[in-house]
Amino acid sequence: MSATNLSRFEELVSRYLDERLNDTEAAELAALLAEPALATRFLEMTRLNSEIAGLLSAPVPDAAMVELVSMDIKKALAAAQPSTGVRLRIADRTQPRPGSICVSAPRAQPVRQKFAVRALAWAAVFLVFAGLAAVFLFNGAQRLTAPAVTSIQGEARLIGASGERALTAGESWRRGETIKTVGPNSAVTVTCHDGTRLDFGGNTVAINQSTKEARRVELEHGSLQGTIKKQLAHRPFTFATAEAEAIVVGTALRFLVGAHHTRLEVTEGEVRFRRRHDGAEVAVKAGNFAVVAPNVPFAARPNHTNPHHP
Amino acid sequence: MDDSEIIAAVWAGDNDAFAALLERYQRRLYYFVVGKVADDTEAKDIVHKSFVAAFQSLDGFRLDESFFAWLKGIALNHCRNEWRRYQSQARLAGRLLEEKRAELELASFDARPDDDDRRLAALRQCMEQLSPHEQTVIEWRFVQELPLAAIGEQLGRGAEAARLLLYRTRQRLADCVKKRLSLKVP
Repeated sequence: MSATNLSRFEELVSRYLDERLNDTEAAELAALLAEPALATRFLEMTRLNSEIAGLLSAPVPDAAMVELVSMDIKKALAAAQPSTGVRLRIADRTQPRPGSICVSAPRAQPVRQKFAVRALAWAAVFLVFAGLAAVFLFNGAQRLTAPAVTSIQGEARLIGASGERALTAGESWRRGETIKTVGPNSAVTVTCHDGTRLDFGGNTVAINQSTKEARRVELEHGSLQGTIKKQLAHRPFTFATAEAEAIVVGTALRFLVGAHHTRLEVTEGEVRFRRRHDGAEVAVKAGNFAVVAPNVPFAARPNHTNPHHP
Repeated sequence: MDDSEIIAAVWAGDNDAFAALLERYQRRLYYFVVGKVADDTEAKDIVHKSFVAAFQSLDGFRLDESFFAWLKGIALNHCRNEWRRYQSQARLAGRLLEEKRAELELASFDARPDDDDRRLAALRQCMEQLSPHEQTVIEWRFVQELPLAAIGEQLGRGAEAARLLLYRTRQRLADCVKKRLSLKVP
């Protein structure tokens, strides 16, 4: 292959990697790939591109991966669980074994029914009271309970009114306190009483700015990945950085902050993402991301980093 | 606890013990997968799916083999399936270049040397050797996913200049990785 053709090939590969290939150029590149040496070079560059993206991507914290896999395993186990247990219980009631008490004592049936009606009435009363108690307790807890640190990987610090110290699993993350993960491989998971879970990645600084009315986490640096349980509409969960705010009602997301940018990736549900300096807002749906950074259009875009999906 | 003890615990009914294998290998598996699929999001999905599949077929695992090698085999099958799926989608959509890429990727799987750990370590070192300017441009493109026009603007030049700079940086990295791998330093 001549030097001119080779340089044309390299240019086409470059355009491909940066998503600037038009249809004619794509066809031209596809034809060139019939040559084995060029095909090898093409694979080398696309592979390198994926590897660079992979190395620079915030890794999934171990705890988050354990949670995701555990959920799927539980689902798989539940699906594989034979329903014979349930069927047997139904069979016990509707088709009693010959010779059992229910068959040989026909008078027992109305007594049991009467007992069942009374038990149901008591159960209903109990449920009403339990429900009311739960509502009061839940509301109270929502105002008072701080998220708990459920796992720590590597080194993590807690900065509060009494200064800075090592963070330990099991302690609460109170309002005004800062969690800091030290080093790229450190991670911290905190869980709220409603099951909302936040995984902070390496080199992250996050402050709990919740009030009695609403939850709010300010990310000064680093990354967080979260699964947010459905929140009350008037009490959304807010994630903030210096440049942006993500207002969440219930979803799964990744939130990353760098020196001059904030990036939000939504994997489930929808998040309102607000640019703080001008109040502009976009809705970021599942499978999309948006970035707040100087000179970057503020819009939701499909969440992929490769030229696979032009 | 070593891998075989953990697996024996799972076999004995302690499903939670599997989490220890996940914590031990998920990152290694991610770095094994990351160059074999199109992007890091797909790589994370495959790691997730591979662990679920490994748990489901753990009964078929033999204690005399390496768990991680077995897990890599599962992940590799997922990567192949991903490319097959992509190939058929590209074919249906008439995207010839994408179809060709999937075909080349699938054909290359068996021929690839098993040097992923060394390759990524080399790439990491090569990236550290880039100039601060090049590192910034790489971060703009890969972490912030800025469009070329925005990168060009940040550089005080156009989108084409940004594309050329990025490609030259990629070429330097490719050469650097090749050189490091040929040195055969562990």
